[in-house]
Amino acid sequence: MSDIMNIKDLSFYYGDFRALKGINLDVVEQEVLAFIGPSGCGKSTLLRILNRMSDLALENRVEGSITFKGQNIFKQDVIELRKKVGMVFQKPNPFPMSIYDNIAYGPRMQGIKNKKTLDEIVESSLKSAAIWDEVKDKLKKSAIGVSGGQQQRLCIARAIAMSPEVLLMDEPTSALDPISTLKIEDLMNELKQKYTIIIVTHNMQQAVRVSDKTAFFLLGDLVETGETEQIFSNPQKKKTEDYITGRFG
Amino acid sequence: MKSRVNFMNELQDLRYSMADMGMEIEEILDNTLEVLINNNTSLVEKVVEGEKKVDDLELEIQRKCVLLITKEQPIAKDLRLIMSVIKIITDMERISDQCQDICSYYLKIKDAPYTEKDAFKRHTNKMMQSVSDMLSRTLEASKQKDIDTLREVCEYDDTIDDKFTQIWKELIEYMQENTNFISVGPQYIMIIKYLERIADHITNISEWMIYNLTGEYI
Repeated sequence: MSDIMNIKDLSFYYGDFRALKGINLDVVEQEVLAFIGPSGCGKSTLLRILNRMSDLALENRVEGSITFKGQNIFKQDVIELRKKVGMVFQKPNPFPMSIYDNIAYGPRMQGIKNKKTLDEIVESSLKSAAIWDEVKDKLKKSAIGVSGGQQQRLCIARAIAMSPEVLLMDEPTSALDPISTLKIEDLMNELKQKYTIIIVTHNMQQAVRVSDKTAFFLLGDLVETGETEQIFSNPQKKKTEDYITGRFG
Repeated sequence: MKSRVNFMNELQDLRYSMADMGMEIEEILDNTLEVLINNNTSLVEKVVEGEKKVDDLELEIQRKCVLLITKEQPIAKDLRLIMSVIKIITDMERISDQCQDICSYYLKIKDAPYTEKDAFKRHTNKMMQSVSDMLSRTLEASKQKDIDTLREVCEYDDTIDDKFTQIWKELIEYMQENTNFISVGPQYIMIIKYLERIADHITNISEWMIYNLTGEYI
């Protein structure tokens, strides 16, 4: 598989504070990459930069480059970028509307009006997010009414409806119960057949279960990156070992 | 602030337990050596008692390992330590079983017609001493985290294998020349086979210790 995103010499500033320090990292297509590290290490910041959510505050500043399929993400249309690089957040955030309308929202914004086409997108997205069987009889019901785990899979379906190539997941299971968590993890294993996934997680076992590669961040530095099996069985850097074994953090 | 202090203490306790079991094994092997080389059969009872103690220790350490995995979800060097301990104590338990087997075979043939001058007997004594040295070196190197010595022990296993083949041939020749030894010879072969297997278990211990210290599978 080839690289889908390349991060080169990336530094990021919140005002004067340098939150990321010269990050170099390649993201391989159709792999799951886990970002781990203690709170404040910069992992969520990096995730948000990847679809330019960092643009939202004016005092933020980026140095270095990120390319998506060879194109500089800072020089392309942000809406187009976010269609290809979708985001799922820590807390499920369905829109206060029906399940159907949640999924159809993005495609409608893109100008798709044909009901049959929208029906197909809604069904295939919900199936891909492994929630179709649970909600197919209540598509017109409010998305707020389903359980937290189902809401999160709805949010994944909503991201999938835009036919992205990369899915960014910021602690997608931290607000969920263990069963819902395992469902999302199973889903990630299926989704990686089609999509590249980058997940931020504080759960070490989750990183081992779902990811192919892992990147460990500390105080804005990328300390170590490698195959997940290697990182969690025999990390090369002492800082990595100390963190994953709970010696600090 | 240091974190996971209880877990660190429990891992240290696990290291001590494994070292205790190692000392028991060393004593059992030394006693077996005394029985085999110096015909000190009064020590057989100690070997049997030691074997029982080692069985209990193995179970106790296994339980500790399972509990630590369950409650601490160890990874990296912590998991390597626990995995190594589980593997090493299994090899240690097998060594104690095989020492007991050697003693029981020896008791059957201790009055057999052969002397210290016979080549197979001299070479068996030497093999027994070498196996005993292998264990001492492994335990000391494990304590000192001496990876080079652990690797040397692994390589030395080939020498023990060669000794086994050599003594086996000598025994066959001896049986051909002394027909009254034919009922004893096969039992003697069992003794040297157990010695050869003990060397394999010691090699395994060294290999798992290297894995524990470096993450390298051998």
